[in-house]
Amino acid sequence: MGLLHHTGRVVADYCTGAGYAILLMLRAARHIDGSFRKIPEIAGHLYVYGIRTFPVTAVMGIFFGAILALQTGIELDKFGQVEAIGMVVSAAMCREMGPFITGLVLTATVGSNMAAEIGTMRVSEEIDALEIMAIDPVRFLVMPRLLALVLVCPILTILVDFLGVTGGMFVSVAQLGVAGEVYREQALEVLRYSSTIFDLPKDVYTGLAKSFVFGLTIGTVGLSAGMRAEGGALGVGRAVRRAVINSLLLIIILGYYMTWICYR
Amino acid sequence: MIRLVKVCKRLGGQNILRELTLHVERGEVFAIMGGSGTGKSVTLKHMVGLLEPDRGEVWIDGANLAVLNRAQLKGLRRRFGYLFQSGALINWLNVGDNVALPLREHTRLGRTDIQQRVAERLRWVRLIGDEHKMPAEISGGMKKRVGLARAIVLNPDIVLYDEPTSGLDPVTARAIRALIREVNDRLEATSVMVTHDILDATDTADRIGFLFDGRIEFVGTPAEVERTDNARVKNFLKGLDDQTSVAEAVPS
Repeated sequence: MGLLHHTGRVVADYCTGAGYAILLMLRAARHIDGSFRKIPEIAGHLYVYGIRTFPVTAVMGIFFGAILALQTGIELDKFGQVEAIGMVVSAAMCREMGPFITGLVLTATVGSNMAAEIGTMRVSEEIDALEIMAIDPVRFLVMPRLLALVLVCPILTILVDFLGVTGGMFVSVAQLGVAGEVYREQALEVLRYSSTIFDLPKDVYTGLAKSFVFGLTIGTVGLSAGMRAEGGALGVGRAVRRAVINSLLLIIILGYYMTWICYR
Repeated sequence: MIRLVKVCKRLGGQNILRELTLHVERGEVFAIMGGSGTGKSVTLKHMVGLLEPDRGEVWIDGANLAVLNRAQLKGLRRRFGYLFQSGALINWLNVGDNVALPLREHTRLGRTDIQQRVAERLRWVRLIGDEHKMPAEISGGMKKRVGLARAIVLNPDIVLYDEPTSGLDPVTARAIRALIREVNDRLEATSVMVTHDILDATDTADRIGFLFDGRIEFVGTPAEVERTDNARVKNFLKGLDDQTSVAEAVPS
């Protein structure tokens, strides 16, 4: 009975949290028309979320591309297909790994930061103060942050895609003996095979669609965890943990379903 | 002006307010006194709609908060100023921007007019020249004074103070008390203050209400409080708990 009761409470808590997060996202979307008044603030968030996180995202992208090339190249070499390595790295980075790595880094840096910042404001009554001043915290705090993250995520994904493919090229040329020109041609060729929208290959635009969804997810989960924080510093810590865990789970689950929808 | 009728509130499994009834007249400074954790701040949060009663009604200037929609509540809140116990300053805005925030959000005043109004309010709270300091760079007393300047920058009809002098040295506490009275008189506002410091109440308030067991047990002017025979009030003012009588505790 105790276990059943506990499970019920956990499920109810998750459902409440999910409902709150969805409503928060919709309420933020309603204020999107006021974003012009918030351009300086949004630009500030873009700088923090984009420029500040770029070094770590870039390093992750380069080395992930390098690892992918090395691991796959060794196996391809056994079948005499090592020259196809550019194709493999390019497709994997654009379809899956670029958005996933970006989502991972933004969860760890921006999502946790949002939960901590907004959570601290919640427990120190700053959000109550905004409400009493008749200032909607969703318009004032949530919308600019969410919009900035949704814009940053696809931009970072494109950079990670490029850096990952470049990292793969270094390894392919230096360690697998593939000619740079061959690698480049193969990497582009795989993108040419797929259908396009506005000249964007399918592998790229599905990756960008994923990164848009990931940005929205990380922002919504982080901000809603912060808004629901209670109980002082401990509560803020719990909010950060909840934000990171839920974002990671949602990224991997949503990533799978988006791949299934786009490529089945 | 402010009327709470049989308000009940349960929080964290405890009955905090039990049929609390309270009436604050227009233009007065009303102090709510009581021990820590007796529901003073909860009472204040009901007045501004931050908490909704489980039962009972909250009326502000003839409007029942329970029937107001979000827009109406927002409109009503613009008539309030609220000083939080911690000041609740927005931590990434400097002192001047914190005070200017309600003006930027709710008025069409130009930059110069906003600067003038902010400077005037900061002069009222004796903080002129500190506009560019960040909340992390100022003391607790200064934070409360900035919070007070922000609370009164829109010339509110009603100002609510949550423990305005707690944690302050006696000199700063006295200055804050004088400010509360001064602000109330200058703005012709109605003020409600919750406190556990008798000096806050007697120096500043027109009437004092004592909150015990989730309801207001005694209301009177400072002079009436001094003369009261209510044992619980007398015990509280002497720092005794309810079970100890004054006669037992005070040596003859």
